[in-house]
Order: sequence, then structure tokens, then C-alpha cells
Amino acid sequence: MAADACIVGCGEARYTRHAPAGTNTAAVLADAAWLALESAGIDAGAVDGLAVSSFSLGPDHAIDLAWRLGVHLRWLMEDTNGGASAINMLQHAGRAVQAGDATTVLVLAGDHLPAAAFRTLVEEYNRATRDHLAPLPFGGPNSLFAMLTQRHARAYGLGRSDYAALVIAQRQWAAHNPGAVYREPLTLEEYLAAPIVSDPLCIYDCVPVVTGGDAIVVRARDHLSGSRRPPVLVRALRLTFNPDDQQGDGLRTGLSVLAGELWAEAGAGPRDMDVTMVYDDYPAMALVQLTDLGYLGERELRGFIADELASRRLPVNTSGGQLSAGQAGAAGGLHGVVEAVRQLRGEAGGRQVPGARRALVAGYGMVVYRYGACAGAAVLERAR
Amino acid sequence: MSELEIQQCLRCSAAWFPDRLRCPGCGARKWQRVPAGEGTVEQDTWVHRPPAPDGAPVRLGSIRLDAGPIVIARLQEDVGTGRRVRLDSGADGVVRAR
Repeated sequence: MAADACIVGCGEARYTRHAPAGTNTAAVLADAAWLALESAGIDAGAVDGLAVSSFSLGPDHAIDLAWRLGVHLRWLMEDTNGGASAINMLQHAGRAVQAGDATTVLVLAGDHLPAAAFRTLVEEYNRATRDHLAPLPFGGPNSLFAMLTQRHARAYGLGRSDYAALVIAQRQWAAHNPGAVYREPLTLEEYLAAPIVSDPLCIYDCVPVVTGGDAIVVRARDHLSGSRRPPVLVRALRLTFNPDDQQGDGLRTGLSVLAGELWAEAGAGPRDMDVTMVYDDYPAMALVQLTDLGYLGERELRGFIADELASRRLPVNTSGGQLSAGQAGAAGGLHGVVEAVRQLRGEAGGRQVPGARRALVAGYGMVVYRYGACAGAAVLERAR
Repeated sequence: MSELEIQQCLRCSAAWFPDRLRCPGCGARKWQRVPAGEGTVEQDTWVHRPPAPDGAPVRLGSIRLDAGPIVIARLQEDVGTGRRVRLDSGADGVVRAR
């Protein structure tokens, strides 16, 4: 993507484990939208593009949301790519503002999924799931990623304490994020003693489902008049969909296919990133993405976890990630973008990485039958 | 209860599961249904608190069929990783390994 698509504002509607009665998805998305516009210093009247990803917006669609928000548009998009939707919407929104199809695009993602709605979502995720997994019953994606984690542990010689190191480090970051639903320190002993969800995954390996939403505002670089805070440039962005026909073991994502082109377009590499947000639906998947993107270099994964992640020398998922901050349904990917923008604008409070200028954000999702089939990543850079 | 069926390409004989519209191997669009045949359990897991009627733990496995596809199935208690199995499919949609 040419370097003139910018993120000029971001916001997050408060993540909550148990939302009050009367909560609805559109209202949560609106909360995130107003916060993002406020942070951009832009009036809602200037919005002429809208993108939204949500599993629970129905029966409404994007146009109904536009009407409820009272925005008058010439560009509209509804995205169904789950954990990869944020990078996908950012790609489309960036192209739209570059081409002049819109000047100011509001990108939203979020969900309110009470227990019954969440169960329906996971059991009717797609036809393969509805027909072949839900009847088992399979208990949602936890069991699929439990078996993927077994493959991962065997391939890399990891044990539960290695995955715990990532989870514990993210919880340490979360301590400084008032928006994270779990902020109290987590010890290895607590992790190892925690109830097993689907072996080897325990409750701390599985994202807490929350109600919440995230938002960003995308503009072209020549439409930045009035912005008080530094804009964030989209330096490079790539996506892949169904890269392997689901014929693999799930231990590589499409990020391994796009990494070379992504870094070349960005004119940078993993070592140049001040902060990194990968899609942590499960610890193994966060590690897979870091591996696919080339963060390990010549190092072994086990040593990388200890030296870079457990020590927090490499700032990864500084919000606490979804594992500690929560997973607000389809907002899982946009959560990482919002955290990256906060870091690059110096607005990350007690978890601020000093002088952060460049960020990598990855998205991953949409389990077709055994593992996710969508993946994408973007390199973001503070403009000034 | 009958043996699980998978799709097999009429051109290159590659097999796959679940249903697709085109052979992932050679791209042909003609296929037939064939019995899944034998396979090996490669991973297994106990799912605690599944949405089963009684809430009892459920044992699932990932089975690599000799024909190629990998199938997620419900395992009998005495079936674990490394075991050779065949797959049944019931009217209830449950794929069982035995």
C-alpha cells in the first residue's frame, strides 16, 4: 500500500465480561466510534466511509448501522473475516482514501455475545463446523487448538511452562492497561494448577469472551488538516486467504507466505519494530505468527520465548492481548491495531514503550475446519 | 450407523473431507464418494464442560486417514493417539472412531 493512508484516531469501547442488561452491539460499536472520532478531532459529519465487522450485529447490516449512527456515506463495507477483518478493512479503507472514493473512513469492530448467542455462533460458524463438529460436540475452537497446540509443542519441543511464559508476560503488560479485564499478576504455579479446558489448554490459554468494540479513523495523508495528534501511516499491508487448502498442520499461517513482501514493502524488518501485536487467540498461535513473520531469525523458539517474551524485552501484545484484555468477538484483530496506534502516538500510559515509532500488527482467523484460513499483517509508522 | 464417506477425485484419486467443489490436488471437478477407510489417531484431547446434554467430558481425536484427509472425530474411551481406527457416521451427524 502506498504510504499515504493514515490512521488518525482510535478508540475502544470498554471491555466487560458481563455486560449490563440492555446492552446491544450497535450501541457498543457507537461508543467505540465516538471515542475514535474524538481522538482524531473529527466531527461525525465528516465521516463519508464506514467499514464494520461483527458477529452479532444481525439482523442489522452495515447500512442499518450507518443510519443509526447518522453518518452520510459514499463508501460502505461489511467484513466477515473475524480475526483477520481489521487488516482486511484497513486495506480496503486505505485504498478508498487513496483513490478518493472517501475522505474519512470509520472502521469498526465489536460484539456483544451473551452465552447462548456465543454458543450459536461457534456451532454454526460455517457449514463444515455445523455439519461435522457441532454434533460431536466439540465445545468450540478450544478443542481444535488444543490438538494444534499438541502438534506445536511436539514440533518445537515445548512444554506447558513455555506457553505459560507468554501468558504471564502478557498479564504483566495488562497490569498497566486499565481497559484489560484481567490485570492481576499470574504466577506459573497458578497457571499450572488452573482447570484444563481441553488438554493441554487451561483456562489461561483461552481468551475470555467480552463485550466490547474497537474503532479507528482512516484518512489520506493530504486530508490531515486539523489533526492535533501525530497520524500513523500504513507503510505496508498484506493478506492471504486459504493459502494451503487446509491441507497442512496449522503450524504455519498465511503470514509465512506474505512476510517477505510485507517487509520489503515496509523497507524494514522485525528488528525495526518497536511494538508488535499478534493475534493471540491461543498462545501457540501467537508464537506461530511471530515465527512466520521472521521474528526468531536463527534462534530456537524455546529460547526466544525466554529471552524476548518472558523478559518483555520484545514488546508483544502490550495491552495484555486478547488473553488478558479480552476477546470482543470480531474486534479481536482491531484491538491490536488500536493498541499499536496508542503506542505510536505515545498514549499507552503505564505500558508505553518509550519512543515507539514503528509497529507490526497481525490478524488471523476464521477456522474453516481445523485451523484458521485468513491472515494478514500491517506495518504502521508514526508520521512525525 | 455407517462408515464415514469422503470425496475422491476421479482424475488423480486424491481424497478430501469435508466436502469441496474442486479437487485440492489437481483441480478436477469430478469426484465420487468412497468409504473413509482406516486411519491413525494423531492427537487426542478431553474436552471438559462441553455442551453435551449431560455435560460430561468428551474425548476427541484428530485422525489422519490412510487416504489422506484429516478428520476430527469422537473417540471411544480406550482409543488414543497412535491407535488404528475406522470412522462411522451416524444419523446424528457424529463421526465416531472405533
